[in-house]
Amino acid sequence: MNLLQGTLDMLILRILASGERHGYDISKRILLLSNSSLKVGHGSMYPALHRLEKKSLIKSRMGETEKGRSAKFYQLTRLGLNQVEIEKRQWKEFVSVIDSILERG
Amino acid sequence: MVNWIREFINTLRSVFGLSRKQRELDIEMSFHIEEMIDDLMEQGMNREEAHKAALKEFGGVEQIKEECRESWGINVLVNVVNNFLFGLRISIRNRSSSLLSILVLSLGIGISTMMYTVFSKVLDMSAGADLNERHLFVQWETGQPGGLAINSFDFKFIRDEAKSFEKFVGIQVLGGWFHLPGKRADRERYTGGFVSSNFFDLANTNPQIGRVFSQQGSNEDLVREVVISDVVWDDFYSRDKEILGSILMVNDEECVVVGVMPVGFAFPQNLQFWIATDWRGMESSNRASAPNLTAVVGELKEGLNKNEASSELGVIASNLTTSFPMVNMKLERFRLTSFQEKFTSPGAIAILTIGIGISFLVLMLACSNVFHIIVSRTTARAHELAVRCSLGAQRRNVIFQILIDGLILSGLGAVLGILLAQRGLNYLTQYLTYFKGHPGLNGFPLNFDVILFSVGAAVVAGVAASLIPALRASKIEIFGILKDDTKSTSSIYVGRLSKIIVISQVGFSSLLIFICLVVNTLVWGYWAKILDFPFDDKTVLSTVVINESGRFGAGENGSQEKFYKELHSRFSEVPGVRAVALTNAQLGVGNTGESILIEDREDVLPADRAQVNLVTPSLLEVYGVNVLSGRMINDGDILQSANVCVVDSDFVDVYCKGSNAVGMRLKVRGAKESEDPGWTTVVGVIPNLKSMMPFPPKGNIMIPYTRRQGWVPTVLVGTEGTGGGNYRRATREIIQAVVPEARVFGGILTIKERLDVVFGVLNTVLTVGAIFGGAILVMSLVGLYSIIEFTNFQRQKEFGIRMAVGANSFDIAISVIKPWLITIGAGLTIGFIGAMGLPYAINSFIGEGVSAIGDQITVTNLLIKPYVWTILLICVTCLVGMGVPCLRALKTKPMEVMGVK
Repeated sequence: MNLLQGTLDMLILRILASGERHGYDISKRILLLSNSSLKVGHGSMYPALHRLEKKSLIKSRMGETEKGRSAKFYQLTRLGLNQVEIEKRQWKEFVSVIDSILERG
Repeated sequence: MVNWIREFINTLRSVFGLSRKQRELDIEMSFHIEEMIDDLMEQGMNREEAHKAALKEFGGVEQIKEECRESWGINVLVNVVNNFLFGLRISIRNRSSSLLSILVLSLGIGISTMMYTVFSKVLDMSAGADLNERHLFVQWETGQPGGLAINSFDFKFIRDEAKSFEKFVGIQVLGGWFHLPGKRADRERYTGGFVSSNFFDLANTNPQIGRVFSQQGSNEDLVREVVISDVVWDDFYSRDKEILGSILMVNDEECVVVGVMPVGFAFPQNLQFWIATDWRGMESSNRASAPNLTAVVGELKEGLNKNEASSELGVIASNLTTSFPMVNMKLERFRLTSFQEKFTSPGAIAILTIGIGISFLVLMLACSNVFHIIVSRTTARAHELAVRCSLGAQRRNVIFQILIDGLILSGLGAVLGILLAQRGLNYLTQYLTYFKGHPGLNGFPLNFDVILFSVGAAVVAGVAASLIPALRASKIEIFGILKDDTKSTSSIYVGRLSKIIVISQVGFSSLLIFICLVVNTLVWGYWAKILDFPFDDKTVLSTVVINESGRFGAGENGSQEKFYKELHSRFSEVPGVRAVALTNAQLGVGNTGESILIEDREDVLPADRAQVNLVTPSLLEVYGVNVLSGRMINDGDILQSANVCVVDSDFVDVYCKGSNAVGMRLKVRGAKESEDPGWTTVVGVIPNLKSMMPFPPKGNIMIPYTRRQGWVPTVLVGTEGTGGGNYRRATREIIQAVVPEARVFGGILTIKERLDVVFGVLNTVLTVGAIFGGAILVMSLVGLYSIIEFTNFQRQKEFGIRMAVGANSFDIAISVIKPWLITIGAGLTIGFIGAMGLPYAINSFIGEGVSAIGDQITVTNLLIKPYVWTILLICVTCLVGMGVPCLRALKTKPMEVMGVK
């Protein structure tokens, strides 16, 4: 399944709400939580991460993984935390509207 | 808004931490790929296979990095920097074309910057003052283009009586000799003004240190207050901060320095110091002798307009004319001119238009040259551009890169151009030191406006020269070029536009060369005429004699007579001295003009002026010339104080036209002896002994030297041989013996030596003109050469085939030159048409001044030579510009260009 346009940012923010992660971890987490239905393209994920960082919704730091490799870790900012709630609410409203249209035809 | 600020701050962080972010991005991508490899290896692949699979799955690493960089928001900046560095590398690689472009652009930008600086400085009469439409200049209306100055008495009358004005300011420009008390030998000369004490209220500008005049500032019973300019503070005082309250001697009178005006303030018209005065000390009971003020400026009251003010001043003018009929004869109303109108006279507009026009032409010439150079360079890069486009470079990237190339060249050209302009302006200032202290000529500093102009010119030049090649290059035939098809590079060649540009180049160059030659011809034509003396200028020595009070014989009647008689007696004993004379004409060759009236001649207006010279009877003997008709002033006239005069042939040409001047009666307004100067009878006509003034008054009147008092004498000594060292020594010794406290001013020089200084300036003007003309020719040559060379490069195969089938050198040469003959001919025609219009502009602008010397220069006659020389010079330049590429085309090796091994 392909990601709907505009939903990647929301998913990334939601994933990071549960803690600091690096980019590879984020893409694997999305795959896992979607029961392997959603595969995030690498060409879109990293630009999305950098875009969110520019908007100060997430912040980054360089660190080391358990394997001793250098990696870039991302975490939510307070602004990002607020944005997650906003995005959740907007998504629910959107889904509800679409559902009602689909039901009534 | 907050989000925007947040993003902007993050963008700035990215700019300053760019290299760190790039490093982190590389690590991030590498980490992701390594993790993918680990996962694939866990699934059973070996490292090599896992690596390939990971890369395949990940996709284009560089593309992803590029997208990440785009999200940082600094792509534009990064692109600019990368393109700039790339452009620099291209410029270094193509050294010869880069140097040529930079040279041409620097000439263009340098010349246009110099012209802009000079013209804007000379025409900038506001010079730091804050004037608006309520500020009006007041003069007497004379019916002539120039009005008549108001004297100090009338000024004060107007100031006290006029109710429609808030305030009036009077300004009298003068030259001042500055020295510190006790250091008279270290004097410096500046131009400044006596001004009303409220002058700085009008200018609305505060001093940078100290203050402006106090209310007592113009009280001439106290030490006069003087405010100096930043130029004087720097030049005379070396920016000493302790000058406030110190005493300064100006023309041997004590003044106290109270303030220094800010940089750039020189209102009006480049004054360097201002002394508060009410003119009481310069006035006597004789109203006619009151000093004339250079400018009277009034500030209208709020809510009133010029017409209302004009009506009121009309009443005041009538009152003055009724009360003082002799002094204010035929002066019935005032002329009110706004600041903009006063300094945008037809002459000023003509100068400005010509100056800006020339600057624009020079810049466009430089741009057109660089255009062709950039077209050639871009064509040479056709393969590289094709490869870029095929790899995905967008059209805007190609355009941007070529624009940056052009801007780099123009930027470097601008830097060099500004340096050239600065050097040129320094030389110009040095050579104009002869006129040091003359309003408008105290130097031409490069200021912020000028730098801005140069930068603007560089941007215009860079964009203008590279935009079209950039647009064409972005639409190249990629496949054709990659197939190494030379013809496909013609998609960059701009064909018709190139021809139009060549036509413009030749046209511009022709016009500019023509202007150069016209200026040179006019300068020599004009000055050669007015400096054609009827006497041997090497045999007349002149010097001005000044005593410690600054005026010779002040306060003592007849002291000039005593002085002259002593000189006459002593010089008669010096062998080889023909005669000695006294005159008030400065250095023997010029004086300021005075208004005249001629009996029964209503057509002679107060604005008509003639030079009035006080002379001794021996004047003609000194010059070795004879009277033309009637007689010269003699000793009898002196003894009887007869009211007689002689006039020169110029005066006769202007005012007598066919009739005999002897017996004519005239009045000179500036005479001091009484309210009514009385009629003076002309007793003789002498040859015109010439004047150095650029636009002199109409003719000379010589009156007996005893008719006026308190003038500074010029001693003229006529010698049998050239005025050598012995005569100079004798003159100095005799003057010192007769008046021990006197000193000579300006040296003891022959008329020729004095004129050599003027000719030195003229020669400089001509040299500058020649250099300018040479620069134009070089630019034309470069432009023509580059486009023809480029076209030949495009046609190499054609030449090879022609030679292979039997064409000889002559045929090839014709095929190179022929297509350009029509283009160049068209350019010359346009230039010629433009040049034809120029005489009308010259005539309308300088006609008045030229006719003032009484010998109308026929503009048409003077311009035949410049026309001919322009055509010759341009033709020679074009021949060279075509000839060199032609010779190179003749060396084409047919087998090589056709690719046969």
